[in-house]
Amino acid sequence: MDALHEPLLVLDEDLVVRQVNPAFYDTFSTTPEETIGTPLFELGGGHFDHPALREPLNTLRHDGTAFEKVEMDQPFGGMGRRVLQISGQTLQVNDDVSERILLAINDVTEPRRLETELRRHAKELRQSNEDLEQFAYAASHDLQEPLRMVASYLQLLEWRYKEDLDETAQEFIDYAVDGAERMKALINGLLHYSRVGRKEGEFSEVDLATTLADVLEDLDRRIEALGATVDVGSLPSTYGNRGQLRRLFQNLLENALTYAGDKSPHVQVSGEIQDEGAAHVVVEDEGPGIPPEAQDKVFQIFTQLDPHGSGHDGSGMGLALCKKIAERHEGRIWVESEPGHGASFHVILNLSPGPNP
Amino acid sequence: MSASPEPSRSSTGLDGRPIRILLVEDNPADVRLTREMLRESKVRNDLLVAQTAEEAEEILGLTEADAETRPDLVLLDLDLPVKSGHDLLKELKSHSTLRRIPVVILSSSEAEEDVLKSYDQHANAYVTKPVDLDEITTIVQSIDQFWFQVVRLPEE
Repeated sequence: MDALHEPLLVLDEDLVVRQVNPAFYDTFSTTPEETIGTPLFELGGGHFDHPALREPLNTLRHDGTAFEKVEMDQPFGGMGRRVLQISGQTLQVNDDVSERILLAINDVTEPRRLETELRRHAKELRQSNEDLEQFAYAASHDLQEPLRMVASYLQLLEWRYKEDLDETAQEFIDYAVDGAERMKALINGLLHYSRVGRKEGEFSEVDLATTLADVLEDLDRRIEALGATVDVGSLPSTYGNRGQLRRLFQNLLENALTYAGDKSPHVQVSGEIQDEGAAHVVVEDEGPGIPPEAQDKVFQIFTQLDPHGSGHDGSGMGLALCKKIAERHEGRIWVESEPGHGASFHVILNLSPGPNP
Repeated sequence: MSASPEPSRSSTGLDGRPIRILLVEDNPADVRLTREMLRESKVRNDLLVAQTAEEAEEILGLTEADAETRPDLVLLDLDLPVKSGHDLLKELKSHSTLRRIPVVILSSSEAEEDVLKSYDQHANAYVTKPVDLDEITTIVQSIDQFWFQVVRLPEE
């Protein structure tokens, strides 16, 4: 009893303290004089006199029913507010005929505080994410309007006054329109990005082979125009949101096609089932690859490694969106690349509903 | 108006008269743009403009007694102050006669909820406001062609 770290009390049938361990004196900063021979409910400032404890103690005295982890949340003298869990049971001391009661006290103040804090943080984080998504959605939606006006009236100016404008004026307008269109692409990207979080969407079994076939159909013309070949190996079924997964792979393929190099690019899609019940899908291209220092950066929003190169007009949101979708599916995405030897994007997705779908 | 089907229905409007369009839109720059785009698209029109749903109700209410001035088409923005475009749409489409007027939603919202809600409320078409003027022209001409040359609307 002396070696135990949790405070222990032995009471007689009248609830008078008969014995305690050193941990009790330590915890409650008290002395044997103040403790032994004192009724439990008079200990300290009477801080054990708590309705939550009275009832189980009475029952225990009455018919010997043990109780466990009865919780008291109140100030304990100089210790301040404490959350204590008290367990009690009867105790037969060797030669003593009368029954004794053993109380074990477990101070759970700190774990409780951490738990509460953790919960509060999680709530704050969730709230802040929601706010951010709401903000992104509202901002992108409201930003569209003035932008549309700028772009429309610029074009109208160009249409209506074509004859009156010299080459330089024409050029200026072109740059302005180009800027407005780029801005629109960015805003749309942001809109899509905020939607992935905002819209819960239904989760179900998704056949990735069908998903990829749909994506390829959408990209048909682009693939043909580039003279590209896309090989798709066998792919498993996974668990997720059909629309979002389709967007994920569409973005990965578009990305691969955009950066695949100049002549008849080749993209390889393959999949395997991992032991841990996850699908591992790889999209590989033979493009210039991504330098190691940029490999994390490509998944950030508005990142384009080569924004004005090779004539692509992406929003810099494609891979950021892939990452967000993968994370919403409790999966992962990363890139492996050796500059000059192409890039392979790896996606891990759950095969079945996880603990928190 | 003649009771027989009119072969003379053309892009110049009904019976040769301009198409009467009620535009419900609170942004003056947008109103002007629509006006200009109708002009660019060479659609002969009489454009009535309401800046709020309440104003639109007034115009529609006043013209109800007089079928001669009732709009042939309503172009409706969803994002209106006070009473929303959805509310106006609902009212229009539950009115005994006004519900026959084709309503084209012109919205900057690409949100699926807005599209679904509009069709659920019996909008005749939902168009997302494009940035590109060529697209706007195509849309304006398509609206003109579809509603005033292709489909048969009730004669009144």
